Amino acid sequence: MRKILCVAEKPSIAKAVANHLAGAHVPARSVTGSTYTKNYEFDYNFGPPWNQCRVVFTSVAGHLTVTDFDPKYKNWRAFPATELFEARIDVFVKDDNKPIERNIEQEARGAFALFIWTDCDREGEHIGMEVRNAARKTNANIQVKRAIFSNIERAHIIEASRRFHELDEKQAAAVETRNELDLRIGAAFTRFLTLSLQKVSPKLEDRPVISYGSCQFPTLGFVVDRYWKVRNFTPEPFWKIAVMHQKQGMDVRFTWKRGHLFDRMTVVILFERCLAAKHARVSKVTKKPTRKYRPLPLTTVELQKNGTRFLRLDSKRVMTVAESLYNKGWISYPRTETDQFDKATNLRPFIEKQAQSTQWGQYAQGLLDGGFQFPRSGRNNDKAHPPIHPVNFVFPNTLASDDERRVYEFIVRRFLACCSADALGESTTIDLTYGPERFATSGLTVLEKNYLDVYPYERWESSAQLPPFAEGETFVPTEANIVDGKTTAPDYLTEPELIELMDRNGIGTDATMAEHISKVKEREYIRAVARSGAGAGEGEEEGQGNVGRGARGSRGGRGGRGGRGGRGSSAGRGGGRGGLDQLVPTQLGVALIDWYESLNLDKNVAKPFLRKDLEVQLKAICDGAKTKTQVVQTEVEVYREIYARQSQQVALLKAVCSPMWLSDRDARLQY
Amino acid sequence: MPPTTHPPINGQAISDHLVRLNLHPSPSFLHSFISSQTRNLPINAVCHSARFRILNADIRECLSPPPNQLLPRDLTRSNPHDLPAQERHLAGPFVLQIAWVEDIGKSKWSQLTEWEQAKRDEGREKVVGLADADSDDAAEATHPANAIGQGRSQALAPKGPFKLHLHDAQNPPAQVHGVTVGPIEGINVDVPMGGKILVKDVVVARGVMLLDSSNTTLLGGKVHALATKYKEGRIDYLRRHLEGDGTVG
Repeated sequence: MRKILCVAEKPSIAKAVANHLAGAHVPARSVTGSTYTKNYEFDYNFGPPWNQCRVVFTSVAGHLTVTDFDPKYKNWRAFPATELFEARIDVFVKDDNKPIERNIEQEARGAFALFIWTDCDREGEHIGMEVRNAARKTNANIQVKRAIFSNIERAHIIEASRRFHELDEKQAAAVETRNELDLRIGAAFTRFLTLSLQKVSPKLEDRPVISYGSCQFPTLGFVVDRYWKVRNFTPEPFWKIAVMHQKQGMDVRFTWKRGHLFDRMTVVILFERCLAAKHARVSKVTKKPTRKYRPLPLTTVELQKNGTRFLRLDSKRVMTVAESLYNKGWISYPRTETDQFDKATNLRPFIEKQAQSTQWGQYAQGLLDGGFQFPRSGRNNDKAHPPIHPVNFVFPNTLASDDERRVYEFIVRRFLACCSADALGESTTIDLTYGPERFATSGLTVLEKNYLDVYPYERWESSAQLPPFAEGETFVPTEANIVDGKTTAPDYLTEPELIELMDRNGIGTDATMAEHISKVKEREYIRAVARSGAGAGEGEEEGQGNVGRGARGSRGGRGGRGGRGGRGSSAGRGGGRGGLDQLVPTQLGVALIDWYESLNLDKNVAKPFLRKDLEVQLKAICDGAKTKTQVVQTEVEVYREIYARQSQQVALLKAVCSPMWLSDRDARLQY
Repeated sequence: MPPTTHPPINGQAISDHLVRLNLHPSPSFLHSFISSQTRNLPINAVCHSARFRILNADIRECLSPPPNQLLPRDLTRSNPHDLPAQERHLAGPFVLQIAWVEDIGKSKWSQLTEWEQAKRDEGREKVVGLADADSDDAAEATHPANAIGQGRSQALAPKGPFKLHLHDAQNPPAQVHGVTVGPIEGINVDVPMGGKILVKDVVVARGVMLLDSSNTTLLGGKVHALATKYKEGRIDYLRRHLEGDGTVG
């Protein structure tokens, strides 16, 4: 029988796939020198043209190789940092990966084919290339194919094992390009910052390295930008007219269509004209059906945002947990940009599996019994992976940790919500004309909760009942007041907001964003602090007495606008935001960004454009429009220029990071 | 002196034309205008050019309306101890010059922030903010950060209203504040200073003209010096008020 070598990206995937293919438990054989890597041997029929084969299924542990400079560059002082832009780079296998490489070399011997089972994304393609290179060392003619799969559910794996694809060299080249640029730019700029700031401040002395990363700096830039918005904020007074009318024992609060104005005199004049008119007239009563849309299928970015918002886990933790759920076969591949299910997908089996749950099983059964609606389609499709969804049911209490349980529960509930009907309601809006001014109030009656029954993360609730009003009806309002208030500062950035900003500005990929945020924290450029004070998030604070905050309740039905339901904003805000940590830059973080800002670069490294450009170029490599060499050259030139510019301003850099300056900042930073 | 080779320009015809437009030219304006006409153009074109000159000159130097088309002197302070009348109707028509505009629907902080942002973004790629572009996804579309310093209800309110500092052609001019209680085409914080508006049948409440499209039309024009001063001064003005005690009213 012919021998075939299969290689997965991680041991857990090798084990799961091997067991699926073998159809039985396959004993693991240790690999000399490696603790986690195991080989699984069994017979399997791949179908034509390979048919029955003797399979050796093994894995790597992520990337086999690393990219680094020639060791002579390790001495920072021996070479100018700019040499790193063109210094020779070696690609080699790390010592701890040597046994894994050896294992592949050995097993490739005598195998006619290498079947690669790395994750289906850019990194996976690159790892596949590394595996291929290792295998060819001992077997130059080995046939190389790749399996395409997005979860390790059995049927899906069996199917994937019968389709043989080619490795995508272009995607691997994009990864190589990024690795090389990150290395060159990161090293050169880190050396510059570190050497410039050494001995500048005793506070910096316990930091051996002031590191630079081309994703980390724009990430930090967002945090600093918001920081200054908060610090520079000046509250301003505003005034508004509030009208309340009692009817059938209910207090109905009407809000001013103008919102509030920043000119007291004008408000007083308009208010006086309302009073002079005496009677208010109901100009319009609108009742219309409204709906709150079920969520879209889940992408990585959404998982991270919702994970931080609803589950209070930082984005890196969410991804680690999701990764582990994927490795165990409970969910589909958690790194995806796709928010649309292929119309041909049969989603019923995934719902069926959830029917045994004591928590949401009954709901899942309801979907199977006719409640099912094919999910809405978002705009994104990475053409590699479906949206994140549960592939198998697991009893939550058998999961390893509370975080795993919560993330799994969220993914399941989100999936079931996607397959449900929108929540339906009816909104009533009453428009009022009072003197020259217009007011309105609205109410919401939720008629069918639908997806909300299984998705407690969002709220959409009926407002207080409104008494009946007829068009043309006039009355003398029970109360009319001028209410004053003042604007309040925005909050510091939260992690879900930061992820959103990174996503919108193309910083990192969905897969690496959490990593960058965590790096910036680790390097102490930012820190997460518990929110102090509550309820400041809305930028509006009203005076005590008078009508007070009660007025807000009557706005509950603003979702009636355009029939777009509550849009979840009011609920998401009220429910989700309260206890989120805020991201505040450290003094050093602020100093570095402010300094880069002051260089007035065409393309500021503290802004997202440079990185966005790179992502575009990497995409061009994947599409075959550009080569690695072209992109590396262009990018290095750009950074070389920035480097030259920043080198002229070292004195200023030292000044802004000087101890005196930092202690001055100290006083201003109140966490 | 006009060149004698041309027939004399019909000053009366020009004046009649301008008056029909509620622009009563002052004799000195008319005189200097006519004397500056060197070519023998059709009367229509000359009238047009006269109107243009008026709109782009200081109102005090080019108009002298009849008394009923000038603002009453007692509009804002009939008596130093009294409030101006709660309501007063004025028929007009009045041609008034805009000396300053404020957006009273937005906080000064947000106006300043917007301006600074626009300035930074000039000619550069723009950072996509949380408020930009509507996401297709329901849950995250609206975010508190969108409404920084504004308050949520802001989104429901129309742009403005705007508070205008206005004056007429008298010397010294009679001044009045106007508030756009409804939108008026062309009037916003970018309207050039020295621009003229025509106001008819207007209510003045407590000395403030309540302007909307039924009683007010923007005639246009600008006075270059005023426009420049406003453009340069507006941001300083916003900044000064914010750096003050924060209680600008």
